[in-house]
Amino acid sequence: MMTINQAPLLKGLIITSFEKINVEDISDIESRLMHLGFVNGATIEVKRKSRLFKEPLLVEVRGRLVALSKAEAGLVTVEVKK
Amino acid sequence: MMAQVALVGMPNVGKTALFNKLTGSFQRVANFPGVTVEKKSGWISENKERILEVIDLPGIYSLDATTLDEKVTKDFLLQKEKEPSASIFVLVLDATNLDKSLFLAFQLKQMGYNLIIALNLMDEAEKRGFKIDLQRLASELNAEVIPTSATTGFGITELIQSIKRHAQDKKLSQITIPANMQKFFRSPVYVNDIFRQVDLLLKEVTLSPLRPDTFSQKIDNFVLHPVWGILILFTVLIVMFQTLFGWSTPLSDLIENIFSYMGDIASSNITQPLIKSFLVDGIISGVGGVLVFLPQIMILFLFTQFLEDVGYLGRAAFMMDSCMRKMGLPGKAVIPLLSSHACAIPGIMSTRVIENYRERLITMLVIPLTTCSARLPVYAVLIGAIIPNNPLFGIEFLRLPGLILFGLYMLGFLSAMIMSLIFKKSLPHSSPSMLLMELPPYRLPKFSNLFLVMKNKGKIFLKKAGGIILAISIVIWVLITFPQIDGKSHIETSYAASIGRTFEPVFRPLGFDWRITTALIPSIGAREVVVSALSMVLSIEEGSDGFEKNMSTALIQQFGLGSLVALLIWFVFAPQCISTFAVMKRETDGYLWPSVMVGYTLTLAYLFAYIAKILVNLWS
Repeated sequence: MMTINQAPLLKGLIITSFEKINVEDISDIESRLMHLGFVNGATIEVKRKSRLFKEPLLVEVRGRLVALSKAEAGLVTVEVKK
Repeated sequence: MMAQVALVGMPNVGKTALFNKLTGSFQRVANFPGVTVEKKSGWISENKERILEVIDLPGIYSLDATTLDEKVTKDFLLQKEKEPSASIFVLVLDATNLDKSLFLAFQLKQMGYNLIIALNLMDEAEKRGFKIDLQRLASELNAEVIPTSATTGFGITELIQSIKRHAQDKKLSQITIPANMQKFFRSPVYVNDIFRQVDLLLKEVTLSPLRPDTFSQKIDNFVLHPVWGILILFTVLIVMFQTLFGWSTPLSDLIENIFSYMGDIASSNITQPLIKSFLVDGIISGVGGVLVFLPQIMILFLFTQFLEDVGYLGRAAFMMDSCMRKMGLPGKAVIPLLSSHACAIPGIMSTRVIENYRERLITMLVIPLTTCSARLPVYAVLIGAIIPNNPLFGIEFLRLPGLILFGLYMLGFLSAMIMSLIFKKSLPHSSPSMLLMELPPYRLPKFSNLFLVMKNKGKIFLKKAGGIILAISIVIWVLITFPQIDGKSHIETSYAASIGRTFEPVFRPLGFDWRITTALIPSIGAREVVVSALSMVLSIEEGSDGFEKNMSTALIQQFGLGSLVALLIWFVFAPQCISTFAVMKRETDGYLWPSVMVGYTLTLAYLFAYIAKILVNLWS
């Protein structure tokens, strides 16, 4: 189990976050992530990562490119798609 | 009462372009009640008669709003606004990415909204091989679906016809609001379920899938490259500011010349000295002082809108974000901060590209510390007075005054960065600071759209800031003109001089006597005026050595090194001109933040000018 910021580049990743999470504990950022398509079971791919600061990251989700800071990417757990 | 139509949609679906296409130039920009979020409304016209009012709501990802803009849209949709909500809702979907935009469509349908769906960017989707069963989509969403293209105008007539039909039917949406909205909209089960429905629907209605956007991917290989990307960014910024200066200077000069010509005509035709002075130095110079900023503002907005429409602004923010965020600012702040080096007014207005209000506010608050072009004449005269024009290390083109000027620019920029860190730690969080930003595909902008935006921004500046600037110009004219002695004005006996003398004890620790404090009063109107005001109180005229040389010599003889260094440092930090205050008031919808800006810059100016004076005295 790893978070998006720890995930390898250009590999299909499956989101495992937000599975049993208590609704009251979901922050504004987590909510925005979910509504952008970062939902449990969705496939994503890290397209780019800044070499200097290791952030922001560019992630493809549901056909769109989303820029995430390291903190935001750290909220979503993923596993490499087999 | 005229029916109200609300345009709803996610960001980057071409909603505003569609709004511009529907309303043309029949638009007005105000704020939503109680907040600083822009409310754009316009009218659909028939035979030059306004028949329907259209409101362009800020983009929203879902009904679980997290930012101020989204909350405004949510409140409007849920009819929590003080003003009556719209009776017709047009949901704008992006045909090139239905995956994303159908989420909101399902949410609104579930709540009972009677929608018209504008399937925008259909031309672009078709070019990428996308084919869709429109009838099936309409029946599944239980709404009229109209394919449109805001760029070509395709489908706009059909959309207007549909809106008119809905207006005649007067079928109002019967919406059901869940009891605990936030809990309901945030539930992962609910979100997952909607995405599942979106996937199912897309499977059913897609006749031919969309080809991937390889064009954007290829460009991104350069634009987002760690080395090429930074080079491209700086090239874009340099070209932008060079062009900004290049294009706006002749226009600003033209405006200045026209007003100077008008002043000459008024001077030669009006014999009564007081009326002449009021018209020439008060009104004409005040109006001219407002209009002279207009070319810079409009051209800067043309550029920023172009960069946004073409899809580059988000990329620039992506490239700069990690670096800027270390200083408490978002990546998008790079454009307002750099443009403020030309003039703080367009800089403050261009902070509108920053969505998060807190980050926008911090950017606006620190902008006055960047060195605007109006400070240059002041720096030139003061540096000329205190710094010898010697070559550095024997290199002819590397001279001490140039190095000092560069140092002053750096001092301003570094102070802005330090202050942004302080504001970041001290200002309350209203909405979360996030990057979390979608990068849209590259698109060719529609120039009529760009010009419309440019025109509207210019109108806002003239309407909201122009009045205050003119009023203050007149107040300053009164202060330096009265009381008159033998029918003539003398600055040394004016009300401004009385104020200068009153404040002299306060500024004495900085080495400022009444002449400097008096000269600072008209500089509230425009900084560069301090040079001419000082020349008036010191009675300096153009001599054989030139005005600037005479001025510099007189300054060092009259005030001494310590006071002049303090004055130089004062101008690095001191509050911007009154026009900046007026624009800040307009952008923050009140006097609180402009007052904070004036308060903290005055404190910094006083403190650092005092320290500079002490250091110079110790050294000499």
